[in-house]
Amino acid sequence: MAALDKPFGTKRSFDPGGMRLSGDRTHRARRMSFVLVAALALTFLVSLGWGAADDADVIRALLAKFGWADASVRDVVILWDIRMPRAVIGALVGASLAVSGAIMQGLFRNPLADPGLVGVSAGAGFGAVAAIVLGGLLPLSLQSVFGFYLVPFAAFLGGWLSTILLYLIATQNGRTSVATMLLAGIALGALTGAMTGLIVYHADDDQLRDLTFWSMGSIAGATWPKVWTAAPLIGLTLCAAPFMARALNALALGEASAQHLGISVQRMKNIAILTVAGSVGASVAVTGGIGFVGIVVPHLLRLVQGPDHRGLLVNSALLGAILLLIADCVSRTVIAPAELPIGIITAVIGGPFFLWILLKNRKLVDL
Amino acid sequence: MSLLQATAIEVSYGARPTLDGVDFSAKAGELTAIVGPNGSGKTTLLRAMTGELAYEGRVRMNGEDCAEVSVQELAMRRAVLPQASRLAFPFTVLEVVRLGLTAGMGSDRLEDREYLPQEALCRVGLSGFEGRMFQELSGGEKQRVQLARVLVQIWQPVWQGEPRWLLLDEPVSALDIGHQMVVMQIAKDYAAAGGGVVAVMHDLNLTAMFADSVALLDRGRLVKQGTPREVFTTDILRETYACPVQMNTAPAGNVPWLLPQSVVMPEQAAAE
Repeated sequence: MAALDKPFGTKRSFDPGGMRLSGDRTHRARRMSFVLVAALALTFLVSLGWGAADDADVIRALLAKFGWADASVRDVVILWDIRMPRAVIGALVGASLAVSGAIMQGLFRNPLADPGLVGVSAGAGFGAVAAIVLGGLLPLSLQSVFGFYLVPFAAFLGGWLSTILLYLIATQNGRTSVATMLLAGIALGALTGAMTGLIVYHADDDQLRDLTFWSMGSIAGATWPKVWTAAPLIGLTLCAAPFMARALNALALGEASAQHLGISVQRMKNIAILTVAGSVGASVAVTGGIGFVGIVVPHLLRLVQGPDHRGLLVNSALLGAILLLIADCVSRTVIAPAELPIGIITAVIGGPFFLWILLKNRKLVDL
Repeated sequence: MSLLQATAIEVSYGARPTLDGVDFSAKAGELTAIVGPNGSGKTTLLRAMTGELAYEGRVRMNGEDCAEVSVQELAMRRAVLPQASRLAFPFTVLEVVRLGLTAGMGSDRLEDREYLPQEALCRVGLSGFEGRMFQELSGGEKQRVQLARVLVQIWQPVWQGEPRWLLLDEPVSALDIGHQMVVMQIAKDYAAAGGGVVAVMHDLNLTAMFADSVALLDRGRLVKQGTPREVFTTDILRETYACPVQMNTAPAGNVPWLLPQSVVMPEQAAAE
C-alpha cells in the first residue's frame, strides 16, 4: 500500500525503466504506415504499367509529360489519359471506402459496420437505377447538360438525400441516436430496394445490362473529369479523418464517457456522417458498387496494430488504396483482353478472407 | 466557492418523476456519498449532475453553472467513473488508461503524461497489466482500470487554484473487500489533497468508514444530508430501507457500523 501514501502529484512510485511499455502499440501503427506508403507507391506504378508491352515505355511515357524523356504520343496518351486517371480513381475510391468504413465502425462502435449503414449505398443505387432507366424521359436539354454524368450525379444525389433523411429521422432534440439510425437504415434500405426493384422491373434489356454492370462496380471508365468530381469530396474526408481519431477512440467507451473526456459527441457525429456520406456517395457515383473494402481493411489493420484510430484511419486509407489497385490489376488480367467488374474481384477476395478472419478470431469478435 | 451544488433537481422518465426537487451539495476536500435503496434516484442524481440526463434545476460547480460551461472545459475540471464499463474494440489496458489524457489535462507538465497512466495503474494495484486486453479482464479489474483512466484525466486535485471533481458511480460494486478499501482510500486521498469527491454507494458500512458527508435519497427525494453519524440512525434507516438495523460502533475508529436485524419480506411490508 506504499503507493497510497504518496500524494497526487508528480512523484513516481515505480521505476519506469527504459523499455517500451507492453500494451503500447503506437510503434506498430507507425511501422505499418511506412510499409504501406512504400507499398502504395509501388502498387501505383505497377498498376500504371500493368499489361504494357515494356516497362521502360511506361516510365518513358511518364517522364515525357514533363519533357524529361522521349516517348511516342500514343504511349503518352495511353498512360496519362487512360491509365493515370484510372489508377488515381482506384486509389482514391479504395482509400475513401476503407477510411469511411473505419470511421463508421468507430462511430457505431461495431467492427461490422459498413459505410453503407448511413444509407448512402442504397440511396445511390436507387439514384443510379432511376437515372439509367428513367433518364431517357428527361427533356433532351437536361440530358445534354448532364451527358454521361447523369448516372453518377443521380447516384450521388440519391446517396446524399437518403443519408440526410436517415439522419433527420434519428435526430431528436439535437441528439442523434446511433441505434435508431441503424434500424431506420434497414427499413429505408428495404424501401429503396423495393422502389429500385419496381424500376428495374420496367427496364428494357439494354438498361438491364447497364444496371447489372453498374451494380458490380467498375473503374474502367475513369476519366480526368471524373477524378476532379470525386476528388474534393473524398479528399475532404481523408483530410478530416485524422481529426476524428481522438474522438473515435473516446467513443469506444460509450457516448457518455466520451463526452466526459471532453469530446463534443454530437458535433463529431455530424462531421463523421456528413463527410462519409459525401465521400462514399462520390465513390459509388464514379465506380458503382464496390463491396467489402470498408469492412475488411480496417478489420485487418486492427488485428495487426490494435484499434487506436490515430493510426487506424491513416493506414486504412493507404491499405484501401493498395487493395483496390491490386483488385483492378486482377480484374484486367483474369479474362484478358476483356475485363471483369472490379466489384466481383473485391467480393471474391473479400468474402472468403473476411470469413477466414472471423473463424480464426472467433473468440475475439465481441459485438 | 468550492462547492458542487445541485439545486431543486427534477428528472422524470415519462410521467413518473425519478427525482423530485432534490437539493444536494458537496464540499471540496471532502468525500460525499449518495446512498439510498434501489430505485431511489442515486445514479439519476449523479447523471443529472454530469449532464448525461436532461434535468430541471441548477447544477453549479465551483460557483459556475455547469450548463454554461463547454464540454472541453468540464472535462478539465471533473471526471466521471461510469457504473458499467464497456468497450467497443480490443484496446489494451494501457490504451484505455491513456484515453484519460484525451482532454489533455492530466497534468500541467507534458513530461508527466508519459508516465501518468502507469502511475495510475500502480495506484489501483494493476501494475504489470498494461499489455493485457481490457475485454479479457474480470469485472473488478475493469472497474479499477476505468478508475485509473478517470484519475489520469484530472490527476492534480487542485488546478488553477480551483478544486477538481471526481464523480464516481458505484466505484466498489464489483470489487472484493481488499480492493474496496483501496479504491475508497484513493477517493479519500483525492479529497484530502483538496479535490472534491462524490460517490454513489451501496455499502453503508463502507460509506460510514470513508464518507465525510452522506446524502440519503428515498423515492426521488432527499431524506437527509449530514455526517454519517447524523444520517445513519436506526429510525431513519428502518424507515428508508424497510429493514430494521442494529447500530454499533466499528471497532476501528469512531464510525457507525450497522447490521441488518431481521428480514421484512416485501409481501409483509405491503401488508403492514
